[in-house]
Amino acid sequence: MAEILCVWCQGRYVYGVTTGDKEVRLGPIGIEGSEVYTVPYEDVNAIVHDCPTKPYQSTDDEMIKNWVRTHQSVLDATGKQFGVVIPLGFDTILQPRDDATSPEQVVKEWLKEDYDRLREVMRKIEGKDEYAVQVSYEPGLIVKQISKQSEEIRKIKGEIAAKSPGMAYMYRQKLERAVKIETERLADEWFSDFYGRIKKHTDDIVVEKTKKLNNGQVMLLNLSCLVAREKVDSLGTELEEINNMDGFSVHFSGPWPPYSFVAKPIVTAQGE
Amino acid sequence: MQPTRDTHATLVDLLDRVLEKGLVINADLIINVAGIPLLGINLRAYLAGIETMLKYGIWQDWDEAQRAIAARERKRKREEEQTNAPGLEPERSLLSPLDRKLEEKYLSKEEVKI
Repeated sequence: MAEILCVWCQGRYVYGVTTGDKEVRLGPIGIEGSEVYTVPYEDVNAIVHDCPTKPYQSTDDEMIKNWVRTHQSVLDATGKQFGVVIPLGFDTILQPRDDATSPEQVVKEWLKEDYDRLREVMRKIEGKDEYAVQVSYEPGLIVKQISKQSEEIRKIKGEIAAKSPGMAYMYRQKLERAVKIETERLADEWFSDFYGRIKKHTDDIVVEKTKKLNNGQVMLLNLSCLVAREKVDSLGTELEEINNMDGFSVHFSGPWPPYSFVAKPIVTAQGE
Repeated sequence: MQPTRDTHATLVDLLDRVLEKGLVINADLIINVAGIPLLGINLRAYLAGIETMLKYGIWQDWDEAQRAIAARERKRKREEEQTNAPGLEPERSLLSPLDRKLEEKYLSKEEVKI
């Protein structure tokens, strides 16, 4: 089979790092049909394709989404084949520092330089996957629940009925404030409750920023969870329970490569 | 509860991760993408609330550009009002105050007729 060589392609787009000490050719499964293959150093193997030394960029959302999906599908395929993959973010392209260095050398030098860190990360993520967990609540239901539970709010509500329209307006404002304070207090309580219940099924956990939802719900908790394969079911059961609670809903996606657990330098138990 | 993938709802999770996370490599070795507008505006809106974008300056350029356009527009209008009155209708400025009053009256009658 004639292989298309990209002579001006001095860049190496890196999808991730896996294990293995041999170059493996994976076929044209990369971004825009690029030939994906591995570059080994010792027992770590970078998953790459050849590309020009400029980043992939576009103002076309669909094109970017397709690139991102392909990036992910390459990691899926290599994960299946090799077991463990350290994912890199989109558009990480290695380039030779000078004309004397070949693109292959740059990849190998990087693997050599980062070898200890890469092995450390692999140890950490082996047999585990990342899951996204988001817990949201229905604000209307929550307000109802608060009104029933909170003594103070019930009192204010009772007083409104007996007031003149002007005074009732003041009381309604007072009520709104009280509901807001109570919601915040409850949200803190829920947060630590759910967080604790979810955390015990994970090996590591990252609290992400919550997002504004456009379905009228309020996101309470946005987590990235590193979960051992044998613990996924128990996490699912826990989430099911939260999802069944009145007014709450859970979004549970994965398995993803552990994107959220490879970025920071690893601090070992000895505190190195 | 089973985790899901490959649905529209999980695309956001994927984009959040692939575009913003993953192993970071020593910056000397990689092409520097910092400062390059990599993504379309709509996709950014998809990933973050507008407030977040303004907070982190992603939309700052856009916002500033919009403000600059609006400011230019206002300036142009002001200048038009000052210069165009005699420029476009020179005869009007030559009319005596009485004529002008008559003209206004005439114009307003016309408008009523229409």
